[in-house]
Amino acid sequence: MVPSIHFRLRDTRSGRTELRYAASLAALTGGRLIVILPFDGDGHLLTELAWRVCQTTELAEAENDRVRGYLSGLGIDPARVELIGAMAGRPFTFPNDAILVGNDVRAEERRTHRIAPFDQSAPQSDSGALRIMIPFAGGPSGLRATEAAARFVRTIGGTIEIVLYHTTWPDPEVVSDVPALHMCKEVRKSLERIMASLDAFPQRRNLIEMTEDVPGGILRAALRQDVDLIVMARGAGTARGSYVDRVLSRSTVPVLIAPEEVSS
Amino acid sequence: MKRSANAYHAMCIAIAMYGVKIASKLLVGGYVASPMIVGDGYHNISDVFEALAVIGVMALAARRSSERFPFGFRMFENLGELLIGLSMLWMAFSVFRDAASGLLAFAPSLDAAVRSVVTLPHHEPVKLGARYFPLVVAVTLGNAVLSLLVGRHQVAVGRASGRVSLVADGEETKSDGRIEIAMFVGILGEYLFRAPWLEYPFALIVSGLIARTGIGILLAGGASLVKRSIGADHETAIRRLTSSVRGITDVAELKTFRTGGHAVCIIKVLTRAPIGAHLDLKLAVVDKLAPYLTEAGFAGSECFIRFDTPPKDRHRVAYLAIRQGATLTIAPDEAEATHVLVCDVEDGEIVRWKEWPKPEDLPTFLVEKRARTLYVFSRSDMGPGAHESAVIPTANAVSYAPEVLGLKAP
Repeated sequence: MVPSIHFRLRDTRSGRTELRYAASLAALTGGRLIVILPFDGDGHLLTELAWRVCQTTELAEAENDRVRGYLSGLGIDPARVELIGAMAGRPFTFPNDAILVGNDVRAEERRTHRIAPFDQSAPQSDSGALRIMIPFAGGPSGLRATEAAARFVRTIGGTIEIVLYHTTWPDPEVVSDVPALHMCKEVRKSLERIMASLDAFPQRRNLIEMTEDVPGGILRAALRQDVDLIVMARGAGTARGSYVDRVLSRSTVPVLIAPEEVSS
Repeated sequence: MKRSANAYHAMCIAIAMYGVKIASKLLVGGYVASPMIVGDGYHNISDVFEALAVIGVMALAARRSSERFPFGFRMFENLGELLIGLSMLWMAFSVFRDAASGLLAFAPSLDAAVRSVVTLPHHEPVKLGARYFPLVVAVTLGNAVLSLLVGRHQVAVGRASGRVSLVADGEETKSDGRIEIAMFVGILGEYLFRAPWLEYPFALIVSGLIARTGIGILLAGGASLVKRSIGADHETAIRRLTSSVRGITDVAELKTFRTGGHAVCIIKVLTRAPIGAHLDLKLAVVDKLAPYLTEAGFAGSECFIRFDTPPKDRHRVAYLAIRQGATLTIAPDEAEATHVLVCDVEDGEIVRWKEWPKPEDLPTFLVEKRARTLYVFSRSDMGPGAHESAVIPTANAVSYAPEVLGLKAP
């Protein structure tokens, strides 16, 4: 299913960078780029403004013209963009196929796929191949992240490499420096399920490390491997200090976060 | 530790080689009454002291860095390079001088004329009987081969262990071998063709080769001592690799130099990443640079990376706004506006904004607030500066909604 790429318009330096990322992502996946324009509820005021601005009662029409010109100025073809108004103060209902691009998140947006691009304006590095890292552990979050990643990459053409990453605590009963030998049974089963679900992607490999700093390990490995996208999912029941939030707080690599409940 | 042990081992082999050379040249040279061979044997004695000095340099350079000496003592290796380079230049000069005096001996009047201006050594022509030929060949050719083999070994071990003084000494040992080959050519020329003069042009070529190698070593050692950069090509690659780390915006400053066989890189990078990401970025940069520098021939590398943010371009802008209760909207013009939003902008983001009731004298107010631009949400055909307050440039905002403009609600 081709995703629709959503972006809340924001005319700031970071907003323009995120918009370019969203536009590149839409081009990469063949999906629609949908720009969300907030509006408030004072209809009378807005109507008056619209009349003064462009002799129309539709302020949205005036703003849409302005936004289309703005998009052209950023090198984005406005004909390939859909503009949608969203009432301020009310949650926006995202469709099942939506991927929301943005570094700031609202609580209600956790049920939507989201990409936090940090400061990147394009999904792919110059090499052309898209390299995706999926951190996993023993719980179901790794599998959910894999499903989110798989759904995402199925819409992309070209070369895709998948790096499955895990950090393991040392097992005192294992006398070896090889990190993979320290993985517990639960993690091995999780890895088998993930590998099975990625059968369609031959270019994949495992990266197992021993480090006590899980978010640090993920980010350093991602930077070392020139990863274009980290895909994660929140583990259920984490009361505080979710690895997703800790990675998001300092990642310079774009992160795709699976929705908290997988949409069918 | 193993690489260090190999380096000392290589020098011990070199000293043993000099022992063999000294013994063979003094004994055979004395037996066949050849001052040339005996003289070369005495020269090798000074080579032994030089080898001991190289061992001393390596031991000093291997000392760990400390608070007082944060870059350690690897620079002694470069000092060793410098001195060996000078020694090789002197060697090249000596060979050239001896070869020139040998050639001039065939033109007595020219020889006399040159000697009236320049002091040249007394030339001793090679005179060896046929019966001594096999013995002399064994000594000269055998020592030449020994020098070349041991020299190559020193250079290989020196490169593997990052000991530039060992590499330089290895080059000097190989140069000794070339000189011994020149002597061998002379002996062969005398025995086979009655033309001992063949040694001299060959020696001139050898002196040129030794000089070229010596200059290279001298310049390398001198460059490291004055902390010359490791080269524009390497610095370009370092910049490229560093900038390729996601999150690094630019390399603002780069300083490189060599200490011993190691490369030192001092890098200032620009990033918008939060402080918590700096360690991740630093490790990623080091992970990229270390293999590159190793492949480029450096025995090791040290990277000192500091972080800064891109230029912030701090300035102020203002928005004309209409406040109606809780609703705030960007106004189309001054007449409609009820308030002015004065915003501090840093790096393209509004980091602070304050709402003011619209003043009576808007232009003066904007100048006092140092606003660079005044924004309205107006007709598209209204050009810049077409606003009533034309004191500062006026521009059209992309939206009437403050949220779109980055004006976050308090």
